[in-house]
Amino acid sequence: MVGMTALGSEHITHIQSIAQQARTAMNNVLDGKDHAVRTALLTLFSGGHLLLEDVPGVGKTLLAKALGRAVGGSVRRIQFTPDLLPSDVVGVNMFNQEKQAFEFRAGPVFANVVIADEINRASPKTQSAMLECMAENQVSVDGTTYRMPQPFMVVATQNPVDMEGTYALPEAQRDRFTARISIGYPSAAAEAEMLDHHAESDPLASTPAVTTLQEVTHARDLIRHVEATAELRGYIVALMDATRNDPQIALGASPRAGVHLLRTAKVLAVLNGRAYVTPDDVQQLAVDVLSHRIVPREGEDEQLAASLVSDVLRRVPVSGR
Amino acid sequence: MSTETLPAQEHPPVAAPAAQETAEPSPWVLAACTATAMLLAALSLSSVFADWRWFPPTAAMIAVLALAGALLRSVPAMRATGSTVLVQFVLAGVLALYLTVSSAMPFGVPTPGAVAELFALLGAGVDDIYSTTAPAASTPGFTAILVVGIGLITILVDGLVSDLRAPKVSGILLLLLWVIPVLLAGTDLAWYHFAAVAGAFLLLMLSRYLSTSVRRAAAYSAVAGALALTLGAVLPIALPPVAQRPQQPLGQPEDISVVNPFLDLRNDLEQGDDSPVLEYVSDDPLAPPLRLTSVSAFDGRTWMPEPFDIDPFAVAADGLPRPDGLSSDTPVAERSADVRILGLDGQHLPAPYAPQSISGLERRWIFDPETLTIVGNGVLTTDAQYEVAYRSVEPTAEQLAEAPAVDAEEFETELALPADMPSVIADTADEVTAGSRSQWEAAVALQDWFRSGEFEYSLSAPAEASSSAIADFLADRRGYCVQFSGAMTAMARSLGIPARIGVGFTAGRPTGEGQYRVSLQEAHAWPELYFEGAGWVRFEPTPGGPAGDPPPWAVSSGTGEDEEAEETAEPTEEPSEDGAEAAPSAAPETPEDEAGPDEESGAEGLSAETLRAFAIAGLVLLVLFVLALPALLRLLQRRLRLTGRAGIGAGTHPRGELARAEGTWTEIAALSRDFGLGWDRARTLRAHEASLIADLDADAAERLRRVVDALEGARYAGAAAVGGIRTGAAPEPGGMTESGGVTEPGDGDPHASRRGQRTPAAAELTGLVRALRRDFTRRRGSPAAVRAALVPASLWKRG
Repeated sequence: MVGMTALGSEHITHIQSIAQQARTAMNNVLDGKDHAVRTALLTLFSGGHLLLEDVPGVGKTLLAKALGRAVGGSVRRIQFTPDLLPSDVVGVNMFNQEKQAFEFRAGPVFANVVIADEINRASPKTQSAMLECMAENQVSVDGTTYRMPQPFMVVATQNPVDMEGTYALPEAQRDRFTARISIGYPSAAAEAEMLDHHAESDPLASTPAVTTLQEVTHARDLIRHVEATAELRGYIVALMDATRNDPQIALGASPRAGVHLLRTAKVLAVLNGRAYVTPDDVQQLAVDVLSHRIVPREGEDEQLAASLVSDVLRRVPVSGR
Repeated sequence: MSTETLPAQEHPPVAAPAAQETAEPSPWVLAACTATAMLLAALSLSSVFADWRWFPPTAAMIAVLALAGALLRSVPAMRATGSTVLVQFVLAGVLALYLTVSSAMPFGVPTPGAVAELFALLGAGVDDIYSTTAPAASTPGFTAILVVGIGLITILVDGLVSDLRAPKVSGILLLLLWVIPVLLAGTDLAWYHFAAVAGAFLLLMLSRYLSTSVRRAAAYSAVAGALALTLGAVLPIALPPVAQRPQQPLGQPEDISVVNPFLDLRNDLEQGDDSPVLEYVSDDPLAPPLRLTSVSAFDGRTWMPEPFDIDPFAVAADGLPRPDGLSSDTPVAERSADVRILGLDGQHLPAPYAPQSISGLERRWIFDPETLTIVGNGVLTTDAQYEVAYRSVEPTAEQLAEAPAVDAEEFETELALPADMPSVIADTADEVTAGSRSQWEAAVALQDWFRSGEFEYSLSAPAEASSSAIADFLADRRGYCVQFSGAMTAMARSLGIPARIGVGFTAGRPTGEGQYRVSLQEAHAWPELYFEGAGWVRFEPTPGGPAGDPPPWAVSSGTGEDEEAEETAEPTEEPSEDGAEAAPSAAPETPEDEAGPDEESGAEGLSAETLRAFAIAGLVLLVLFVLALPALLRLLQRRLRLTGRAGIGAGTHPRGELARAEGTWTEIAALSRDFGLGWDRARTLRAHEASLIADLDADAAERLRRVVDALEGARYAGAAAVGGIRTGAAPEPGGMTESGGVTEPGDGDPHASRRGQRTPAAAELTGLVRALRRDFTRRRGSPAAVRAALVPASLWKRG
């Protein structure tokens, strides 16, 4: 094992290769969705959670499942409905007649990759139970704390079109997701191929596990030691500050947003073969990481929020010099 | 620029920021440079002084200090600590005592008394500054100031050049020295004074390169020479005193003529002092008055000499111009007078009209070409002894009577009358001159009227010749020369005759064969009227006092009762025949004589023209210099940036290689802004690189990448740089970077495989910047390139 403070080039190469294999594997499942695949991997390595906002049938679930498969982890899917209870998510203590004792029956949230499908359909109570798992990486049931398996990543999906009878995630909860992306419709070619392949076989079946959960966890530990100089951190702070002082933005990015941005930037740096973060990394990720956390004055609109973040990027000087 | 000049010296770049500076010249070379430069600079002061007594002690001071500096600096310890300067200060103090107040140190040992003496001398020197004008005699006070001052400057320059290696700064000290002659004797400066200071500056600039590359020395000398010459030529024009001084009225600067002799007349006359003011020997039978000056500006209250441009080159000893308005057919007698001043301390030199040359006086006696007044430029008449050659203009009455009318525009001052002048003056003039057929007749009529017996000579009249005083005088009919001359001048003007008042002394009392003695009682004023062809001729309306009889031409031909008068002991008039006789003998001489002064004045005109040419050239240089200033600043900035010295002192820039990279980046940004391409500070290094690199050749592109690499490492790698991973490498096509967006294209990373490469050397960076400039020029066009060079926006616009 390497000293925890040093991030050698061999580690970087190793992480790069894991990520690249995972990416290739997932790309085989999701044709032409490299951006989504890449963001999903970045989120995984940064220890965050992903929010997919898209119409049904574009492959949200497929993405999550492919991710789980690729890293050799367990994948559980929770379909959120208005009548879903918190205990349905985290599990319950049940009385075991044989042992004459309560024993914990883990809910579907105990998996490496949890798909929270249509999370906006659940009641706020259930949503917050889910979000607690995400934030704390643990579950408390009747005074007993159960740790989530590692790595643990929630991929929540929201359907932006059919909003009737839903409880859209409030900003405070959206903030817990590292990134929000839309998968979007595939290109014509990709869709044609999809029809060709997926009609006859389950693409997931052929997805190999390219790495192990241990390796992913180890990679996460290493990535934490990627260098972010004071100057770089200053740049991130300046970005955060700019979103808060933008007259077109009603609610700017939270401090947590900065933390998430830096974490993902560190992953990106390593995946680009660097042991240090540069503003390029930050700029590449800022839209995905920030736009779901800010509230434009003009009303909530993904496109507008994304363009506001881009404006901020264009405005904030990279260097004091 | 070749790229191979510097790298060899550059190789250990971080260790020595001054690595570009080559081997240190020997202290002796530097000291020799300093000494020579200071001597040259001191020479430029020679324009301030009339003699050279100040120079030997000053030169000795410079030489000893430079010698001591070289000696001390050749000891490595002294050199390292820079304490040489302290020793030099002490040495300068002692040396100043020996050079200036050695007499106060009988045993050759400095005493407190000697120090006090030195300070007293310095104080006296300061007084001298206030009481003299350049060129001045170098008094002991001046010499002391120079010895001490130049000694101090020498120490500072030596320290700057030898210890601090900053010869450029010493230019300011030279400038300081240069300001002295410019302020005190701007008009006495000649080209060789410029040359001396420029040479001194040049030498200092070159001092560090004397033993190194000839090429660089040449470049430096070109820049330094251009700068020095520009400054030298421009300063005398740029600084106000020189420009304004010639415009100042005669009265203003110091002593040149606070004195209006006309106003002193009453005092002089009333004192009744007959102690001699001056004596002279003259062969002139007319015995004209000795004129000090003439006053023509009349504002209704006082008569003032008309201000004239003090031109230090109008030296009376070189001859004076031909008197105004004198035509060649007017009889003229060449006369001379040997004058010895006994008791007169004035600025005006007494001389009969019209003086043509003065001998026996120093060159600081200058003249006004209009009035032929001779004044001392900082000297007084005290005990002066001189010979005046003058042209006695002796027109005939007929000639004056036939003189055509004058062009009023040429005689604005001499015809001017105050608007509020009582009408009685002009009315009386008309009345008295009724029936006159010419201006001459009118003038004679006026003069005769004053002399007719209706007027009484009296010193009790008010000492004024204001217009109201003249009107009173015309009523009271009592007065003395001031009133008579004032009244006649005013009345002549009202008749259209240009008139002014001559002020001076009457011929005085004869004391022997052609010898005269003049006392204050002979102080006098008389009208001078202008007639075309004859110029200014005097009249004599004052019927008593020291005044004699009117000159022959001022006597109407019918009333020649004095025509046969012999040349008496108190000569007053010349028979007109004599005048006529004199004319033929004088006339042939005239053309030749004319040539003399005219040539002289021609030569003077030339030198004035040369001066003007200098001034214009200087002005042009100044304009060019001001225009080129932004470009020069940018050049300097670029050089400092590319060599990594831009941020020294600001404390924000690291030194060495990194400083060069940062400097280069700043320079590239500035260049981009200069070209109007802007510089998006929200873009990352690599984003900039990507857009800059597009059109660069492989060499320049590689240098740019290395600069970006160095900067990225410095800014963002932090501790990771130690770990060795500096370069980005995306192992597979596409990598994890994303195409499009705000950052670089993702196809492979050009920064790969560059581990361990150094920041390019300064010369390579220059090449890179030049390549970028070419690229920008291609993109924006040549006009933008010119604009970028001359009006670099980055100088005043940020980001």
